[in-house]
Amino acid sequence: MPAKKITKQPVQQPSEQPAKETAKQPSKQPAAAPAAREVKKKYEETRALPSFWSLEANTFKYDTRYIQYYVDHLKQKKIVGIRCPSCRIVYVPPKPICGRCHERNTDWVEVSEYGTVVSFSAGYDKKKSDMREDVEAKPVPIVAVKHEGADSAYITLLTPGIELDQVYVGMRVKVVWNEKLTGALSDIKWYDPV
Amino acid sequence: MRDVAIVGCGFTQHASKRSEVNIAELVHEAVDDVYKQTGLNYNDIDAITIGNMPSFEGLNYPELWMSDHIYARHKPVLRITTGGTTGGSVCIGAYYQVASGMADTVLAIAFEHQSNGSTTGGLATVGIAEISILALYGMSFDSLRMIMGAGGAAGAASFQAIDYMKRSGATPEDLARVVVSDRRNAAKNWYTHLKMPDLTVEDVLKTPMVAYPLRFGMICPASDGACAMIYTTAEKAKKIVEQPAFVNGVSSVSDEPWMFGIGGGGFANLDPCEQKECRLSARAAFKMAGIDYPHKEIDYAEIYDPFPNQNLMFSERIGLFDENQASKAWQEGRTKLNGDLPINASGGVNATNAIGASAMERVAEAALQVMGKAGDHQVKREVHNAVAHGWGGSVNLITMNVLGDHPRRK
Repeated sequence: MPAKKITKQPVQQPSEQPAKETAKQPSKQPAAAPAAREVKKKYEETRALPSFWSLEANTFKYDTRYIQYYVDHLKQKKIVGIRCPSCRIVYVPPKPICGRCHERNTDWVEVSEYGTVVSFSAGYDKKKSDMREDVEAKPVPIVAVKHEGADSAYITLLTPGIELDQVYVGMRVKVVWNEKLTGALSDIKWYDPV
Repeated sequence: MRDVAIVGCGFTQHASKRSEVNIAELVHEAVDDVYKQTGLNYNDIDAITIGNMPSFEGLNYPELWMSDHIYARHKPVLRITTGGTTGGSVCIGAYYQVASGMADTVLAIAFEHQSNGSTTGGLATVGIAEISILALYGMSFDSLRMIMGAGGAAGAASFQAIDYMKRSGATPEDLARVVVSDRRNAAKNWYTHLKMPDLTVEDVLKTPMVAYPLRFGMICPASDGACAMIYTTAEKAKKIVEQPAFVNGVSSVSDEPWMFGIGGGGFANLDPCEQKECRLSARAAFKMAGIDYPHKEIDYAEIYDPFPNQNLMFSERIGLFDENQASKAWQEGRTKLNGDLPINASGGVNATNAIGASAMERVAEAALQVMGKAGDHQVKREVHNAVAHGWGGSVNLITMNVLGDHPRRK
């Protein structure tokens, strides 16, 4: 290959290049012991130049037909999901394409406002005044709820005041609707144990 | 297809801030190290595959502006990037080039200089499309903030953890045991980030909770580091080293995206612990390598475990243990350096996590064990077949590399 011929005579390599001397004679000796490796501690020449990268300029395009239909029904205290015509899996909240059979989802179905907790976690919320090491942060349970009639779960919050040790997998929960329904995701305020 | 072998692995020192070097200098250290280990030089290399997580450093096409530092002059350079599995995918890319006959000797490089950029900013470029639609359709700021906490990698893993613990009966002690083993092993490995030779289960369980049930002490660090490997044909490999590590099976399988939001349809993997993609990927790689009984034939495993529950879960899904039995094997000490199925003798991702390089380090460490060059953390038993696993993408891609001390049976 011509590329090899050209690189045979490199322009001035850095002096600490042990690879160069041993070129063309692959040794069968075991590799150097790990302790022999040199880790450069200091590069006086390498300086940090601070800069920042803004994401503001990006535009995200989104097919809103699905989520719009979903929030329109939230306003009527109804929860809708979308069913794959091929494998009959019901996605709540809706998504355009079934990930299992790559069919475009078409069938809207209404699901119950009752559901079960399929998994949970907790966030640890500290007030700014409590930012001390010795203050134990209060856990806020975050739950993955699967509605009756749906096959997918989604992550949401429980009514404030419910302790983490009261939450378990398989717990039945029910939607608590917001007092003022506006046709937004916040219409589902949170979930209450049944 | 030609037989492919790994002849050398190079690393840099990993640390939370390698501020004395820039990205190019960091990668240069790993490339120099692999040349030093193998006795090859840049004239022997036909092609380069390279990868890192896009946007974590805030730089685009780093592989080309650092081409001096990786000696890429007059050579093909191919960048591969698949999130957390980048390193695994780069290894597979290098394998393809040698196996297909396109190149004889390939240099594979993976790196991450996280302190250079903003990891949170980088992750935002992954999740912002979902977050913006949630905010646009009226999710309240408080809910969004809490749910976003669950949307990141730690969040995804915490839901997996609860699900796994529920079905297998694993306890927080079992999770901590994995962490202790990883970080104690890391103390024997020269380049690792978190070296904790005296860590105990109690120490881990004392640390504050981050995302229930994962504590601060259970979560992987963010490291700066790079890894480089040389792939070549079986014939050439035997001239370079006495015992090369032959790549007998590779596989990479994706599943539905696993995001938290409305657009993704909630848990798209309807079951967070099912890990169908991992089962399929393992099955494909083992079939290619001619391994029928992984739990008997595999002597060493490198599992990608940023969170300890994933080590237990993935080792079962790969087929190393029976369903829900992994924590029992850890209790019995089977996975220690002198056990009958050592796992993560290198310290694993839980001790060192330079995102792009992590999955490649799994392959490199498995190769070192096969070659018998791991040094202080070489396992007691003879390693004939080893498996290296990677987890990443939008939490839905699994890469598998099966290595052996002999070429695959034809």
